[in-house]
Amino acid sequence: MTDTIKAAIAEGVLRLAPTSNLVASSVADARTEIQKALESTHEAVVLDLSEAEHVDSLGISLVVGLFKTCRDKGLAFSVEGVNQNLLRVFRLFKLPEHFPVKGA
Amino acid sequence: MSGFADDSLISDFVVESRENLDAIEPDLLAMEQEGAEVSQEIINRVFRAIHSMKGGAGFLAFESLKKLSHTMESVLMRVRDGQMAISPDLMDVLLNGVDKLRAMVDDIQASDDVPIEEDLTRLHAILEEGGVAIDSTIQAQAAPAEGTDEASSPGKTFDLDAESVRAALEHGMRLFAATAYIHQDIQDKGITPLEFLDNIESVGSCLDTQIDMDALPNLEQCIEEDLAFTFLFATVLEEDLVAMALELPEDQIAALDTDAVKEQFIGEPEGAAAQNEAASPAQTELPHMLGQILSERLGVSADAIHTALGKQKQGYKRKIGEILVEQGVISETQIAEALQIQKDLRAEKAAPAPVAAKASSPQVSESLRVRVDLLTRLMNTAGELVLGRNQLLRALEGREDVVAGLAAILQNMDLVTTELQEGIMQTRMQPIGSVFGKFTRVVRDMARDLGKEIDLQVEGSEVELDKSIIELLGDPLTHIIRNCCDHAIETPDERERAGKRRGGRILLRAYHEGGQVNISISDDGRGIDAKRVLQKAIEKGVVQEDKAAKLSERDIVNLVFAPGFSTAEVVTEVSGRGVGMDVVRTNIEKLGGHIEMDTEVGVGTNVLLRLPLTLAIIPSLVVGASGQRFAVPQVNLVELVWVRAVEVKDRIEQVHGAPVLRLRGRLLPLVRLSDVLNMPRAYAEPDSGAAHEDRREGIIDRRSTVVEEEGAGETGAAAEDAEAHAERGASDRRENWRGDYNILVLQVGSNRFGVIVDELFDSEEIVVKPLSALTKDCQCFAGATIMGDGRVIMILDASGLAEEAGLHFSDLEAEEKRRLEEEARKEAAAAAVRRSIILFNGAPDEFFAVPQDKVLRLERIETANIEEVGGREFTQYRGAGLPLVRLDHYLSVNPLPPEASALFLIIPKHVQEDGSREARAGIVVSNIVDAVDVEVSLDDSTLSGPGLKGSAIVQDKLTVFLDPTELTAAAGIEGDA
Repeated sequence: MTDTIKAAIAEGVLRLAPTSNLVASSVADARTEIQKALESTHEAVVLDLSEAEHVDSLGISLVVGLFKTCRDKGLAFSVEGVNQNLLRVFRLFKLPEHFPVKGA
Repeated sequence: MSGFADDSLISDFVVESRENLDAIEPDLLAMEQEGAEVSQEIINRVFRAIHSMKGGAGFLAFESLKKLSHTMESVLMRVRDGQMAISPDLMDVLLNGVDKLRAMVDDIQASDDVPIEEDLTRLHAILEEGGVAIDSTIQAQAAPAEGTDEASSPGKTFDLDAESVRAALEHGMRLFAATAYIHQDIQDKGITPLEFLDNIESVGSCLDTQIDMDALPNLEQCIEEDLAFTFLFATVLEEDLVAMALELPEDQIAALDTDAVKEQFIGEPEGAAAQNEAASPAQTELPHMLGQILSERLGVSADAIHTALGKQKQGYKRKIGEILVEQGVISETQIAEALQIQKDLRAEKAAPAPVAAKASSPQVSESLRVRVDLLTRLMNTAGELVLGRNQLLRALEGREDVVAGLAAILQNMDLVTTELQEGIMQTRMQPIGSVFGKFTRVVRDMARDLGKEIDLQVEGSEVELDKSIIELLGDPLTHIIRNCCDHAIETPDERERAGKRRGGRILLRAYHEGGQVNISISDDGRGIDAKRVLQKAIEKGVVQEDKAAKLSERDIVNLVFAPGFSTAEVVTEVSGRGVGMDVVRTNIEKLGGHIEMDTEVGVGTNVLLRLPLTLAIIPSLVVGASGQRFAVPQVNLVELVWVRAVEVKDRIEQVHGAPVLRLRGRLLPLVRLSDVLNMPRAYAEPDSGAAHEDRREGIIDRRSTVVEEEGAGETGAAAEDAEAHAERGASDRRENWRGDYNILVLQVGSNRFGVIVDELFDSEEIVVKPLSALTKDCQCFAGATIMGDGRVIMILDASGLAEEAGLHFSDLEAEEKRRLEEEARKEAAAAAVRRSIILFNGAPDEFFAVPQDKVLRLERIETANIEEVGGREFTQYRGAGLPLVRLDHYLSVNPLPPEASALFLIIPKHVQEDGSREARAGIVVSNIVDAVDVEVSLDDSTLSGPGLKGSAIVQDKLTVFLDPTELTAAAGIEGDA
């Protein structure tokens, strides 16, 4: 199985970067990998979507699920590298009200 | 704060916010005062102002400002919807909120540092107390219709921007709340969230969304659980078409009650909104969706658009316009036209042209925001222009013929300059309401703090004053009003005991009078006890005890304005106003104004401020004294009086050793300008025009003591004067026109006084230049100005002159009163001896008089017509017999000459009960001499007899005064005269 998520920890921050679009075909794998990465110790989680041009409904669900889990664990969560179209979608779902979303 | 907002945007926001806050406060106070009766318009106005601040704060990312205004808006919304009653406590919270907003706006960059937690807590507490918050109102409406399960309603609230809602409604859109599930309605239909969003925006606009975060507990279940989101959607489409266009089940879409929402967000009656739409269809900005343009501009039916949309949804990869062309609904030209319209509209929206702005809000173009410093500069430039004009006119005076048409050019320039200057002055004029407005709040807060009931009434808010005066007026007025609330108005119980209404009243009134603006602040409080003021003034050394005796009550009360009088201690003891009133007076006088006070213990106090309309350019009269010129502001100048040399003794007199001018019954203190300014007096030699020192001592006694003495053979200057005096010979200055006095009658407050000047020049518009530091303490001068010929002259300060001359107006008031009383007494005495009489002869050499008002008629009769019946004489008068009375029958006088063929009858007036007058008898006399008014005292000691009143000398004859009624009564003919 090729990695759908690149996970790296630096200075207590777990950086999760999907290597391609976060869509139905990759969301299940991505979830598994993320769950695994979350087992390590860190203070904050950053989801880097620089490589994800498209995020579909399941992708959105994944992002929301990740946010909820981080919140439950008391970890800071933010999303980075969001392209303009994706930003529109995130805004439609009011996600920036729940966690910081930075554009690409 | 976001970095993209440039400074000009922020400063505009600050200016607008200040205006909004200024407007909100009086409206909130009106709401409090009128309670449930308050008009919806006032509430809407407050709401809009707060909303507009919230919008601006949100855009510029001033978070605290946005948060507080948003919460206040929510409260106001509830008030507007009648869900919350207006109460003083509610108003306290809102007014405090306004204060906080103002504090934030005042230092906008540090606005987030202003503590608002307490305000928010109080506002939230109010919101929680009852009613339904705005958000939940919408939520309640937005809840999907029947048949929808709980899960479809995410239970979140919408955060709506009223502007967007209003814009949508004004475009004829309808509002829908729709719920979509991202798996079921998006993912499963093979579309991405982005495509779903595009779809929404192609048929309407999404006003707000809410996502049900709780539906997804965590990462583990995120794919399995569906995530619902609800959005508020505005579109022109009907409900069934919306469901189709959005590809959502109909039960997931609920239409909102547009009228209710409109009422809530636009706040105007349906009729008015409809009227606006009908009146200006072209001004209404159309939505930018192609479907709508086709439907509204090109008349394409909604059904056709719906069908095309349906095909698109079914995967037909053509644009909607192309589908419509294919279906033959419209032509390609029409599509091109619609696209052009769409493009234009979008361009217009992106960069609204001034014209577009004008079209949508015509009122905007009626006013323009201009920086005050620019106006001040313009004002100064206009002042210089006026000076230049004056100089040019002076320089070319008498040379108008040198260049053809020069006179007309000069006249035109003169006119235009005046108009320009007036126009610029006008731009600086502001209604005094901007100052008055804040006092409602001041009074309200103080009344609440002090436990008093105070009603502030404001009149004349529209009266305009120069901005510079308005700005400086705030502090003195606040001071007076605060003193009024604090000290003048009694507590409700005290008032009740004094037989007054429990609520005190303060009337703040501005009005024009004689080219000035007067502001009166009157209250119906306890008034000021003059005795206590005097006592304190003596204790404080403000006034000497010996001088105190001469002060009128009014003067005493006005001692509260004296420096050194005002201390808190005094005020509490005097129980009136007084704190810092000297500061108030100083400030008002700095503005070229005047302040005075009237009071009556137990009744109230009135403080009157008289202010010039403007400070910069004033009309004035240029006068001369001791060879110098001075400008006298026209506002202080009441009239000019010319007292000819020969009239001096009659019109100028001494009262308590000081000269006074008698003017139409009033006594005006009189001073020489030269004396007040301590300049050597001079007079011009009648023939040569040469200036000489004027050494006359008094104004009335016009001879110099030196000249009087020089006859004794003084040497030197006195001898020269003696020579000059001898040369004058008969043409004494006292008789010469050059000895006439030109007197300016100046007014300071309610006092008037005369100032003798040597010469009178033109009236001129002068530009006031402030005095230099060296002369600023000279109280006689208000400033300086530059004349047409380039000379600098001083502007006289009327109140300073009066003070410098030490004029005692109260002495004269007493003297005036005494004279008036004396005159009235004389008048009454004169009236007592003045008589209108008819003078007649009995026997030819005997003179008699009867009062005219006791005589009905005078008739001439022939002796032959006198008949005797039963020992009494009669004559025929108006068809009846009139009994006749002869004087010699009743008095010791000579009989009438028997040879007279014609005699006269004096018929006394008999007034009957019904008021009609009748003739009952006639007194027969030989001759009617005259009807005259005489002033005589009757001597009643020498004569006696019926009807005899006395005797006096009239027209050199001893005349006997008779009462004709008494005489006829004595003759046995009764009547009530």
